[in-house]
Amino acid sequence: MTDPRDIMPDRRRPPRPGVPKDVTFPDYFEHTLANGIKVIVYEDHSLPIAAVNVVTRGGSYFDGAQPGLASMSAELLTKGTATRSATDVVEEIEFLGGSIGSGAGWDSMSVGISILARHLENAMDVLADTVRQPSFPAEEVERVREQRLTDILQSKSSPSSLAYERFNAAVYGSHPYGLPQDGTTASVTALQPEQLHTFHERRFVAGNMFITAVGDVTPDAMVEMATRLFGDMDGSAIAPPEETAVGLPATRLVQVVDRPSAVQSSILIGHTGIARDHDEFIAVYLLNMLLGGYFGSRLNLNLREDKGYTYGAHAHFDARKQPGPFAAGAEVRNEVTDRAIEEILYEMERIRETPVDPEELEKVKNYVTGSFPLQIETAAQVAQRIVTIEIYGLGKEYYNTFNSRILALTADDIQRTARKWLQPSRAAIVAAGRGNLLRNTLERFGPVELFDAEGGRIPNVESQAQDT
Amino acid sequence: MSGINIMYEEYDLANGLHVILHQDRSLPIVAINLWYHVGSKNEHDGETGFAHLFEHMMFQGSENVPANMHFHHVQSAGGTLNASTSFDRTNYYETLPAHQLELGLWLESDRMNSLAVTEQTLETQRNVVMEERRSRYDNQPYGTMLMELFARAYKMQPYRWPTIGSMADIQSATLEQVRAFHRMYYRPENATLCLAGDFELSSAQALIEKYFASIRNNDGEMYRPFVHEPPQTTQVRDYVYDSIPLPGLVVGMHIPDMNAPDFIPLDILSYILTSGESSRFYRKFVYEARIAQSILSFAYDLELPGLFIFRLIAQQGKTPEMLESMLWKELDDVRRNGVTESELQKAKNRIETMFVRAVSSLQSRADLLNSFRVLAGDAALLNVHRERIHAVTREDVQRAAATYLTEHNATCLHYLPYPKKSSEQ
Repeated sequence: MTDPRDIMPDRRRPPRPGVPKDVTFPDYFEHTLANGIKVIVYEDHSLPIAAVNVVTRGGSYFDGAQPGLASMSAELLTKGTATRSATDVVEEIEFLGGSIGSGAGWDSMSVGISILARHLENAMDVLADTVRQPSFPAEEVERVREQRLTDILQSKSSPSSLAYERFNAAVYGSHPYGLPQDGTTASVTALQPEQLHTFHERRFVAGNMFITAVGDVTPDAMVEMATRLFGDMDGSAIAPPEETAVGLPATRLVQVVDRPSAVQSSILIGHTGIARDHDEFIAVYLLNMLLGGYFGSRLNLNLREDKGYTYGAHAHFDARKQPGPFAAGAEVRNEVTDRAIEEILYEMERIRETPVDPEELEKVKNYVTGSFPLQIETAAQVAQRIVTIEIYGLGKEYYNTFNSRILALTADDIQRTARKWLQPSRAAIVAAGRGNLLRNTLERFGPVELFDAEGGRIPNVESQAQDT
Repeated sequence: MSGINIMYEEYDLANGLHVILHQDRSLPIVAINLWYHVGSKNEHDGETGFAHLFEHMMFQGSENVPANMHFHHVQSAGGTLNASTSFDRTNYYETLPAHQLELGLWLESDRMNSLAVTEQTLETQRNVVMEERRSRYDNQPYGTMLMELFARAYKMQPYRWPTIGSMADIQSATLEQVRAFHRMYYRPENATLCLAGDFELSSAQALIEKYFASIRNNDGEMYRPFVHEPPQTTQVRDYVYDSIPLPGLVVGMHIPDMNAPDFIPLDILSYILTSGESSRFYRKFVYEARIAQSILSFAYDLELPGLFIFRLIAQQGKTPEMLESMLWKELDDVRRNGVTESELQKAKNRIETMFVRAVSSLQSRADLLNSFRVLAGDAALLNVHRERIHAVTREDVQRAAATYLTEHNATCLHYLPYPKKSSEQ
């Protein structure tokens, strides 16, 4: 007779893993043109496709008094040049099966193409044209303006947009990070083509730019094309701005955006966070992962898997040139909004007060370090990390030392990091939801300020009545 | 054509589990992708949302893997994971470092083999799913457009209710139903397992045999609805109020199932009309006439006959009536005059590039292989499909438009902002 153990596997415990293979962040080619433009090439010939991005340092942070300036200037780059109309640009690229896009982040602006490698040469001509001689036609500016004003109007009915806009304003006030990157109705209405044009001319200068090319390309071909198409640009590097510190409020702020028809509240809790190039970023990254960075995080296990309050709870440090926001949040049904806020504050407090236990620390470290090969699977993922290295000056070895720096962190490190970078007692608590319900239930976290979707304050009629 | 062929091997275990192995050793990663041929169309009226709720319960414990430990094991190994439910199928997938392949197979086989759920985990997941419905549909501007369209376009086919289900049905699901659903549909002969990535073929085969071969099929015939709507002869129209700042229009026309010959020309037509800023309808509606803020269209690829869908949001000051009258005028032009050779070629080029992008990830390659195997009957069609796209002519596209994109075959829904109320205090 056959021994049943021969056919029935032992399912009782997890199998032992095999032997892991070493994975390093792939090496890439760098060459700086005479005018200072850096050309970066990561070759991956497994598929016949390539992506090229022309990037300039500095983005929406430089909007100044006109939110939307950088993003609108960037958007217009593909909407007409000295030699091509907006429709020519998009038709040429799309006919070849490719795509072209442009945009601004807080710390960069870029134009990029993604296309089958055999069409790359043709597409590069179009790309260079959009970067070098955009014409900002009045008619196209009006189109983009109209689209944007409508997008802004639409965002006033999206619960998460309403919550983020209020949260940023509460945390940053008049600092650039407090204003929307896409602009406000007033600023978008006021922006003139000349301003967009001038902004582009100042930012896209050789000393401020770099080009990344990934996929089925060779360094020789890229350097040749970059030299031919961008080699005669000039302009020296632009100094980054001085850091403008934003402090924490002395006490909590509790702000509600009224959305009378809401069946859920969008909650965000947080404060200013950390800059991307800060030494402690890696410790903060691991801390955040534990708190709310992945499915197995404390916030998600508590609010979703234990309480069933939400489809998902999360936390995130948006690290930029200057300290960007830290926010923890969830979308929860109306009735449990106050309890969900309580749990989020509790988890922020707990990770400060109690050292993380070894098993939990081990698990999150395994997740972060073990998933490293998954983060560099596609050429596009590698490209994104190279751009991060360049913009924040992290150094070519950054991702190759990342895992060992994660593994070196101790429970003490996490606790010390939590005490420094998480401040639940001085956080902004923002919820977009039913005002008439939330202004009562959230009172216990502090005086509730009520806002409408346009950002205007709604007077608290009830408490005024009590005062008199 | 880019000449990419996705190579693979496939076979059945004795219990009927279908296995597809696609080797790619460029990075030490393996994608595990498991499809069960069951979705919301296998549900009955009054039990809607069950297939999806069940998908959540698959993470709530099996004989040797307690609740939530599935996530724990995968993430501790440096893996990522998820699952999704559609009208026609449910998929479960994890991407792991290659040396953790056996862990993934152990986990997937344990929950195919057994389920250990409790009243308490079911109650929590009912709540999580109700929050999912609110987050993704009810509390989202325009979030209900497709479910409202399908509810009116179909009278008989089980696509008339949404995969997420109704709140009342989610609320009333019982533990006994969960167990019965597992017995009925989560059997090896109703599943397809695809591995893509870095593994030795022989050792992967041995591990699959080890963990899956002993799982037995339960008796009982699976419920497989094969309901076809009678042809629609008159247009269906309605309007819906929503918390939205601008009106919208959603239109659906009945089309054949995803495996019918006419499906591919319809799919290509949707690219010609609305894919990219140089597409015909984007240019006409958004760029030139400026009456739409956005426009999209797609031929919904379903096992039973699906819909060709247009979804438009009006520009400020424009109405659904204006959008609709322009839509019919432009569709009339397509029906009468067809599309240009250049438009057709551009659509084919875009589809080819999108395919190359899609196969850059192992998990998406595995999912595509499973998709063709389960819904089209043969994984080999993944490679054949692109030749079929290549072969489509202008005449095919025009004929498909003239046959299906007609007024009487359409369901039209106007989405309107709630009328302004006088201020409530």
